[in-house]
Amino acid sequence: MKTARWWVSQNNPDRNLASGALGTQDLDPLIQRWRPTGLIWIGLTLLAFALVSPASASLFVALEGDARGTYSESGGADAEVASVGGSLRKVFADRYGDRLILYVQAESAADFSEAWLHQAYAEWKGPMGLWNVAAGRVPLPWGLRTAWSPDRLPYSSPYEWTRTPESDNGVLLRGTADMWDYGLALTQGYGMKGTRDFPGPGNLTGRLGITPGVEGDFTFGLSFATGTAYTHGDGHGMGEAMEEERTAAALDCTWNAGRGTYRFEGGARRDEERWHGTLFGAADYALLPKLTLQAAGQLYEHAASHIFGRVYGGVSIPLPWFTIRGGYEYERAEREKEEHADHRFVVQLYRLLSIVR
Amino acid sequence: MTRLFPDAKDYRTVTVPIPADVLARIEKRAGAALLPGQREQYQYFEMLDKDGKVIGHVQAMTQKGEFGAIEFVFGTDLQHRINGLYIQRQRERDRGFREESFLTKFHGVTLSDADSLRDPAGDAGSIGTRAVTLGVRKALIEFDELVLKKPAQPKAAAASEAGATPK
Repeated sequence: MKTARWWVSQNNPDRNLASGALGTQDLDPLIQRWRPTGLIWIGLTLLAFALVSPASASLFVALEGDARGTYSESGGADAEVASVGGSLRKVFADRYGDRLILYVQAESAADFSEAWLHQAYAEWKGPMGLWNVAAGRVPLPWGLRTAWSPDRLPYSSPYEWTRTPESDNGVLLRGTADMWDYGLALTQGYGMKGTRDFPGPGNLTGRLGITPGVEGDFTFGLSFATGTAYTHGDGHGMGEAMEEERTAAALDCTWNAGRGTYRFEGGARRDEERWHGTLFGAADYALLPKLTLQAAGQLYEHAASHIFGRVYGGVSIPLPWFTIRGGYEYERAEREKEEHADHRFVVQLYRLLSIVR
Repeated sequence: MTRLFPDAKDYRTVTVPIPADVLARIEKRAGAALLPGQREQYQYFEMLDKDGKVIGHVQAMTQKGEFGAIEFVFGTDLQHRINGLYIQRQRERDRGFREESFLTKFHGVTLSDADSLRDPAGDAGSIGTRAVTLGVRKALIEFDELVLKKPAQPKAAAASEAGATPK
């Protein structure tokens, strides 16, 4: 049953495409730098192709669009096509079952001024999903991101301030065994852009999760990461280049309670000889069949006297051709006893299409 | 999947295109339109033993509930008899369709019952129980039409008019 849940989570149409990095302006140097990792990945893919029969294959396609209008006290009014993206997932089977999965996810963001390649990997699937090995640009098994993404939601991502990379070039081992699921990724540490040398400084990320019960109403996970993370542009609004040696740990849980879904992630990361705490929580509650209340909040400590916080409240209304979301977000930053506040209103039109071929 | 087929060693994803004429036949037999996103392709899973031999099938279905999608899976043995059904994701107010006493009512239902399948909860049913029942009916008919390629039997239509309820 857990395997079925894993499958559903991989194919879940509600699972938003994540945001990531690979600026158009950086494509040429990246292609130059990409070669060593790229050759290994292409080699693994060809090897995998050679070992399975292409006769039995299924293709899953997801396309999505996200347009937003915002007004903030600090930035004024703005409207943009926040994202147009999609993913392709091709599953090849041999006579013993599904064996090879090829997956690509990309988007054009910020009024088509940016192009991001989120994931591009080949995954060899073990029996009943007990173990799966992926190579290429793989998702990092971290916290809530394992089965959820905040990037297509109207509130700010908790991973922006913590500069937690979404994916990286390397190898990922993941799987499910009964109520347990696990993931362990050994990656270059460059995040989604700026591949400079092979093999790179290195980053190890892992998560152990548990989902008791058949319906998966409650999931709980422990994540850890250690190594170097290049957070330069690793996701929208991640800020300036930063090479950071860090050790991080987090605890996450998701509770599906009837009409409500509640998410929590709390953790700490250590860089420059100091631990920083992070907290994030989000709630969705279906008040009416066509009206869902959404709330989120986060707190981030950057240094002893640098504390940042955000609180969001809004609604989500599914209409026949798209979902409209809107709300208000309050942001407060405290830097060495100096306080800054900002107010932001956002309206979002969102559309997701899923196709099986 | 493991719970439905503890002896399975792996599974294979199978995707079948739905021709327009077969779609019309499926919807007529089911008494309802297939949902957007389910009208072009039909997908199921073959459960395999250690030699790659099929020991049963699993179908993952999504139906509309009052507060969003209700996702569930069920297994059928080689005689196409339901051997288990589990709700995977839902956000309904009503909890009756999640109870074991309701879900086990589908155990033993076969393809030949598909056209006449009625909500086991009867008059006490809810949007949830009706959604699960309709989802099972659609899936069984799709398997029949698209995998077994068995044409609709007049007898099944007659049974449908009379109505039948799973045990």
